Amino acid sequence: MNLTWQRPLLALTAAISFSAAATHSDAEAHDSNLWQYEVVAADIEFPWAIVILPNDDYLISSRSGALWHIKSTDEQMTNVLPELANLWVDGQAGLFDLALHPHFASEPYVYFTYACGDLRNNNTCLARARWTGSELVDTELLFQAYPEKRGSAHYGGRLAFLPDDTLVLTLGDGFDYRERAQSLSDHLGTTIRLSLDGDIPTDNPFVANSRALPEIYSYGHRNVQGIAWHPQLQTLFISEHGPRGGDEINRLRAGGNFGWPLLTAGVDYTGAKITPYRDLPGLIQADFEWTPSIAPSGLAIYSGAEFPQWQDHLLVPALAGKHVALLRADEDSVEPVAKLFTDLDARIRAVQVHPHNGHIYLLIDAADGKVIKVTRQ
Amino acid sequence: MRTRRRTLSYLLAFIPAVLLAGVLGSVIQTQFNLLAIGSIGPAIDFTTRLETTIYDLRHFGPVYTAIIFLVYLIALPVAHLVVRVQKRQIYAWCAVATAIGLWVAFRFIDHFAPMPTLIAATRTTPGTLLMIFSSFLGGLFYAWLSRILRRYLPRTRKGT
Repeated sequence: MNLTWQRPLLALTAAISFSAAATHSDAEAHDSNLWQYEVVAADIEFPWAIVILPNDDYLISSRSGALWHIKSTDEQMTNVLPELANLWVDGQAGLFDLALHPHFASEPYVYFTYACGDLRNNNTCLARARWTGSELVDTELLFQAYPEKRGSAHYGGRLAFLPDDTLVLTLGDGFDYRERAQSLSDHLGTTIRLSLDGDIPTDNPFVANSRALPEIYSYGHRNVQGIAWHPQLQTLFISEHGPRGGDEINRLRAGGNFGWPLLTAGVDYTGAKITPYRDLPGLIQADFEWTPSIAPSGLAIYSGAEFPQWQDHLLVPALAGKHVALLRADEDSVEPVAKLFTDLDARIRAVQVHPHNGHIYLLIDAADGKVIKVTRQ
Repeated sequence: MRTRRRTLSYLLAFIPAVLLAGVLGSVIQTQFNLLAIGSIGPAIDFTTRLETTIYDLRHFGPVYTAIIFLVYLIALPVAHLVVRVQKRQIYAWCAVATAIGLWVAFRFIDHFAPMPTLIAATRTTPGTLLMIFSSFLGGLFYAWLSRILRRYLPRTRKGT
């Protein structure tokens, strides 16, 4: 399984050092000759998320309903998904995101999201279980999105931790229920903020609003499948699927209305207009948009020594676009920098950065999906 | 000669009926979408409504008309078969066959398309019924036009 993909290099040798690369032009700083690929896990059906354990083992979720523990020592794969009575696998539904407790050394919890219910009554669930080193035990359901809806599309399902030891979970609009993304009385098309135990923080933006669900953090979203805290800018970024066109990067703001479906640069898959509006008072405009769509399905903020030229940049994996978009963000703007890993020609579901060494992990979305580690050449 | 004239009348009525149902359906789906947007946002003014309707006729209309074309291609011959047996009520059979045909097409598309509902206006029962009604009217128009055309098409001379 430890297959290394060495790109055919004619002019360049493996001796390219970063110091040399750093002096190159901006385009060359993102040249594919600077990195190499290594398949670290294969034959994983539609991998969705990866976390790297402190001992460098991996946990990888498969949308098809498996959670693979891959040991770094012998690469042995074991399905460690605990029994989930109401896991719903169909279409876009299944097992979604994974995240380690921010203080994993002392509180070894793995958080995971999944579609729960059945074809006519389902939504997104958030649970956590304690990692023993070889299995997940003591599963606790922390949250179930309301209402139970019909169909197997648009679950959101990504989560991120904030520095104040709360978490934000993204939730989709369920596709057929898009207008309800403007409602605060259910969770469709919202993000929610919870404590690490699943309680509702008292400083959530709609706690005092009797007509709103108190866990809602922001609303007016279509299907947010990327979320990451930017430590330098102290901002939570999200990537959001648009319809046909109108994929977005946004800075998540407490209480913010991000406009869907009243505002979008995209149109329906049939070509019909979803909304006549591009701008309305009180609704937040996207920081950055892609039209035509690339289908952004994740988000990571780069940090590490492996690719220092990408420090604090946004990495956005694209399913339809078959690349990872590299974007530079500052206080006011988000700018595209480069399209990375296009030579893989693969739908990329998620991107994860190793917390210590800066290696990048790409999850390839396919029935025989794989996880590819990207390191400096 | 009579049969040939009748067949020609059916062929000539087919495309106008498809176009009528396609345009009606496109206009109906736009109004349903704008109704939904108006329920969560500002009221839609006339200019915006007109612009959106025209936009959808240009961009959604061709897709929808292609669906109608395929539906009518199957539904109308079925209606003619029934009429041949029953020997009456061509208006009713054409209208019903095209309406049921479109309903089946919606179910078929939504079953195989990756999204739960392809055409947003058909997410609700009233929206689905009104879209189907546009197909019903197209079927009626086809039956009416084919009869009119038959009356006015020139008779072919004996021996030619």
